[in-house]
Amino acid sequence: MALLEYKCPCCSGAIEYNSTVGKMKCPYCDTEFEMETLKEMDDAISEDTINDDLSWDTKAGLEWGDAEASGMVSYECKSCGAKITFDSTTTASSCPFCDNPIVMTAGFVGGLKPDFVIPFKLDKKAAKEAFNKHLTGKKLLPRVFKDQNHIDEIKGVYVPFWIFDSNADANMVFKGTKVRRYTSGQYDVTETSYYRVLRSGSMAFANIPVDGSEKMDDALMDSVEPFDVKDGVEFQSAYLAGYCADKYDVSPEDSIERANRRIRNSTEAAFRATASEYTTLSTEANNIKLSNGKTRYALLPLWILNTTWNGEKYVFAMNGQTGKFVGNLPCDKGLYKKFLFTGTLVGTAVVAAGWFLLHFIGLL
Amino acid sequence: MKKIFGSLMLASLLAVAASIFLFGGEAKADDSKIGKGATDYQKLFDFDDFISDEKEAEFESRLQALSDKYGADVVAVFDIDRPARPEYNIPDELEATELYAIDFYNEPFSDGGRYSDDGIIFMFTMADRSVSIQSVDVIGDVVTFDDRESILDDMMTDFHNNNFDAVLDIYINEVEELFEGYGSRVVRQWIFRCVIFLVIGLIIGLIRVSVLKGQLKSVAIKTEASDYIVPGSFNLRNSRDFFLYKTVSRVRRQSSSGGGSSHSSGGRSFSGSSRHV
Repeated sequence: MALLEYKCPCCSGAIEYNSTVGKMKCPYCDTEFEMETLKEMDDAISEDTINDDLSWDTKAGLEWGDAEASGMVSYECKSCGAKITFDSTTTASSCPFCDNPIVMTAGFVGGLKPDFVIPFKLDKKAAKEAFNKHLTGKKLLPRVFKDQNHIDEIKGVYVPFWIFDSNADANMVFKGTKVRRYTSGQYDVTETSYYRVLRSGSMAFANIPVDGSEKMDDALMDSVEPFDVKDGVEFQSAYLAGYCADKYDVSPEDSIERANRRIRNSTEAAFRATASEYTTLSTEANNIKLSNGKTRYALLPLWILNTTWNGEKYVFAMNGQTGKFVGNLPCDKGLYKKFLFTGTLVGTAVVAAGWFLLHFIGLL
Repeated sequence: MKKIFGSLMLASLLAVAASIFLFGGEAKADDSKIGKGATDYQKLFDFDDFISDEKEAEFESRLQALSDKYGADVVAVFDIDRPARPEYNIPDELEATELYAIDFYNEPFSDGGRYSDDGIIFMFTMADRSVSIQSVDVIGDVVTFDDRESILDDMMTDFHNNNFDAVLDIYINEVEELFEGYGSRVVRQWIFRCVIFLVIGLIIGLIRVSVLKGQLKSVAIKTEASDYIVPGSFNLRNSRDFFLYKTVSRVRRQSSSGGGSSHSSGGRSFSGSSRHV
């Protein structure tokens, strides 16, 4: 396990990537460093990779089983000397005791190097502000949750994503109906015409992200989309300093089904839109052939916030590039009942008043 | 949940009670009057002896008693020769009978008086065997379209047998039943209305909390990739539509022919049902 700490050449303080200025910056003496300067350090480190050390100190506890130990790596902080154990898929983090930012390059060994990384544009402060904004205006949110919103943890995480590009060639067969209603003499007539609707054509999809991390909730990752890959830059480990980074543990082959499902649905929707003149449209055949498929590996920036309330864990995520904030919130059952009750009473009163009004002006 | 449903039940009961108190005046037990009051004018007109002589006085008496009890004139007319009157000699026989019934009810008597503003008239014309029942003003709520149709249905056999005593007996009995049951019908209507108001209110309440609850949810799996379609890449190569077949369904419309109609005449509103018998 190779551990990478960027020390400031001026004051020896731990330097980290500053998302505001887009450079490495020493938080102690405010000196800024270009990424290119640090690239040479990356190269040097890659030639000096050390092997995992999975021998555990068993004096204070029990032996790790082989299966357990294979998923863990241990690290001794060079700044304060603390011994820390990480999940083996974690590639960047900080020392929980002295907050010294570290990058474990061994976390990438045996895996793929990301094709690109989208650096953080928004910092932790922005994530906190977004979280507070996320809590406002939610009438069914428990007040205690809002008043005592103790975030257990806010982590800047580079999440591994597979980015899919593909062309879709489609042949669609729909059954369509056109309904015409009219009156003829004493009869209401409904005339339904049935059609076979054929559509074929092609379309292209680019940059569909599918997260490659088992730990991350798929729905949460889908919800923080979209990312603008135009901001993607060549991967350099220096970008990871000060943030957590996960190595992928879901292969692109296992992720492709999620991308395919989305492509299939969107392709069908696009062709359906060309037959909007039909009253109803049901799909009879839907053949989609993908070509020029391309997959890239990217690290995308997310702020992950955790909190626990009433024994339940709530996870929120903010897109570190766009600031889009998502995360389900708890519902106050008491407030739910109160709003249901008052809504029902007000609704009943309004309907009754409307009825009386219409009755008295003679429309009922 | 028990509490909330208990509260809703309490609210509905209060709404029903308030409605009955405010609007159920017609249903008060000590006041059986439905209309504004009956007149003493003759109620049965049998111009060509359709009704047996021995029964005629009894029917007149029953109609008068019924009218007095409920404050609404209950009138029955048996005629033979309406088409001979030029003003009613129009192609639509049922409409002619309706107009005749309305005019008959509105026509002033020799002393200048008229039937009550609330009432009901039964009109039979032998010439074209047409019959019409017209409810006047408030009685339109008491003897509704369905009620009039039901009365006419019940009379059909006796009409075919030319048993006009039985026809008139049915008319008096069924109108009396409707007058008598009106109070409880009003209460039932109000209870039904209140339940409907409450159900609609509950749906509104549920929609409201669903919207509010939806604000708490911002996480969902994405099923589409429409954000990632390359702009301008959509190429529709082939677009063909083939007509297969056509189905046509016809449903007869609910019409007023032989059934419901409404007129305003002499400052009164008439709602009627007519048919050939």
